[in-house]
Amino acid sequence: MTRDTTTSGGAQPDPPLDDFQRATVRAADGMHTEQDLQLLSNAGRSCESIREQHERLSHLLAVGHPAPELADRVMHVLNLAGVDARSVLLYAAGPAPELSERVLSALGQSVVGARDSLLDDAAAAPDLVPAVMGETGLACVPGGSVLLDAAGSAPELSAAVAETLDLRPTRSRDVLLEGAEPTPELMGPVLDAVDTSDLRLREVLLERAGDVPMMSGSVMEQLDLAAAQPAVGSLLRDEAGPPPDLSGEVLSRLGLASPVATPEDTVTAAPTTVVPLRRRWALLALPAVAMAAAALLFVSQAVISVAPTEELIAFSTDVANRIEIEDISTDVAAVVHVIPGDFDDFAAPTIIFIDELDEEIDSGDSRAEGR
Amino acid sequence: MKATRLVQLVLAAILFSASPAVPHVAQAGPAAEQAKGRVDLRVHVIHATEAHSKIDPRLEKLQRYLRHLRYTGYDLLETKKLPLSARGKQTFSVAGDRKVTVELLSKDAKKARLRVKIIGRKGQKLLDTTLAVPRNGTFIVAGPKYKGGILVLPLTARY
Repeated sequence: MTRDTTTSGGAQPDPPLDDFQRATVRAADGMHTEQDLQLLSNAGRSCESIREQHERLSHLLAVGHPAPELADRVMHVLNLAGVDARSVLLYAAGPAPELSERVLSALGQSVVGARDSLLDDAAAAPDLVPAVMGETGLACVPGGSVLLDAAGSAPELSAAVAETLDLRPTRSRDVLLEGAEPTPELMGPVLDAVDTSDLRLREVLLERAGDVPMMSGSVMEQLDLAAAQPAVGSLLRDEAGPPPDLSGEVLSRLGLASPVATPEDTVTAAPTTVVPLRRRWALLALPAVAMAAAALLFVSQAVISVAPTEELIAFSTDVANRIEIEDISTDVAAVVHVIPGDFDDFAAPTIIFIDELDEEIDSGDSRAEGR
Repeated sequence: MKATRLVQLVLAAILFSASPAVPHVAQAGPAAEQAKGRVDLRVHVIHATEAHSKIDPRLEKLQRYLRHLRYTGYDLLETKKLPLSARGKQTFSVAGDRKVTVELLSKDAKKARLRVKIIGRKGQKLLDTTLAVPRNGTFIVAGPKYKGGILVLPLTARY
C-alpha cells in the first residue's frame, strides 16, 4: 500500500500509523513481509528485535509472576510504555505499596495519583509526620480533618498540635467547650486560651453560676457586666438572695442612684400656740361634767330598760330553740311543767310553766286560775 | 407654762379614768377580753290575759308558740337587755314585784349554761333551774300570776 506522503521541505513523512503498527504486530508474530521489513528498518527498528522483545514480555507477564521488580532495567528491557507499565504494576502491587522516592520516580507517577492511591488504601489514622506530609505533599486541611475525626472528643489544645494541624481556633474551642465541665472556671488562662467572646462565656457562667452568684468586685470586673439595669437587676432579683448589700460602694459600682431626700420630706415643727386660760379650765371641767352625768344614770346596774320596739324582739325561728335542763326546783307548792314544743318544729321554744297551787294574790286583782 | 399645761392634762386624764360613764375607755384591754366571754340576754315581759283577745303585733313570731298557754290576749310590757359577763349575774324586777336573777355559768360556741331564779313577792323561790340554751336560742318561763293572767318571759341568749 502506497501513499503520496510528500511533505514540505522534501523530508520523508512518517509512515501512516496503521502501516507501521501493522508491521510491528506482524514482526512480533514473526509474520512480517519485505515491505514491513523495509518500513521498520526506515524507523530504526528491526523485525528480529521486535520479535524477541515480544517473546520476553509475554513470558514476563505470564501467570506466576505476581510482583515484578520495578527497576529501570526492567522498564527499559520491557520497553513498556510508561503508563501501561505503571497501571499494570499498581494493579498487581498489593494494597500498600512503599512510597519511596525511588518507586515514585521509577513509576514516574504524578504525586496526586500516588496520594490518592495511598489514601484509599491507607490505615485509618495515618502518621502525620512532617516527613510524610512533605513527601506526599498532602494539604494540611485534609490531614487535620482526618485527625480530628479520629482524635476523640477532647483533643489537647496544645500550640504544637494546633500549629501542626493548622486548625482554626474556633473549631478547637467548640470541641473544648462541648466536652468541658458544666461550670468552667473563670480563669484568665482559660479565657485567653479559648478566646471566646466574652458575652458567650458570661452567659454560660450565669446560667451555671448557681442560685447566689457572688457579687464581688472581681467577679463583676471579670464578667464585665454592664451597669445596665436589666442584667444587674435580674441578678439581684432572681439570684442574689433577699437582702443585697445596699452600701454606697455597691450602689456606685452598679451605677444605681441612691435615694435622695426630697424637700417635701422635711418636717418642720408646727408653731406652738398658747391656749387661752378659759379654754384650759374648760378642759378640766369636761370630766367633772361627765362624772355628774354618770352619777345620774343607773350606774350600779348596767341593765337598761327600754321601751319595747319591734326591732327588740329577739326570738329567731332560724335557731333550734331546744334547751337542756340540768336541774329544776321550786320552794313553793307548785307544779313545774316543761313543755318542749312541737317536735316537727325545731324553732319551737321550750316553755317552763310554773303552776302555783297556793296562788299568790297580786295587788289590786282578784285571783285567777292559771293553767 | 409648760408645767402648768402638763398638770392640767394629767388631772384631766385622772378624772376621765375615774368616770364610771366611760368604763371602757379606762379599761381598753380587759374590756375586750370581757366582751369575748359575754352573753347579751334579752328578756321580754309579756302579760297573757283572757280579758281581751288582742295580740301585740310585735309578738307575731312568738304567737304560734304561745297558744300552748291558752290565753286569748298578749301584751308586751317591756324588754330588758342584760349583758352577762362570764360567771356574771344580773337581777331585775318584773311586773308583780317578782325578782328574776339570771347567772351565766359558762358558754361555748354552741350553747350557754344559765341559772335562772324567780323570787316571789314574799321572797319565796318560785323557780330555780340550770339549763343550757343554744347560741342565740330562746326559752320561755311562764306562770307567775299577774292581773288576772300570767307573766310570760321569753329569754334569748345572744352572742
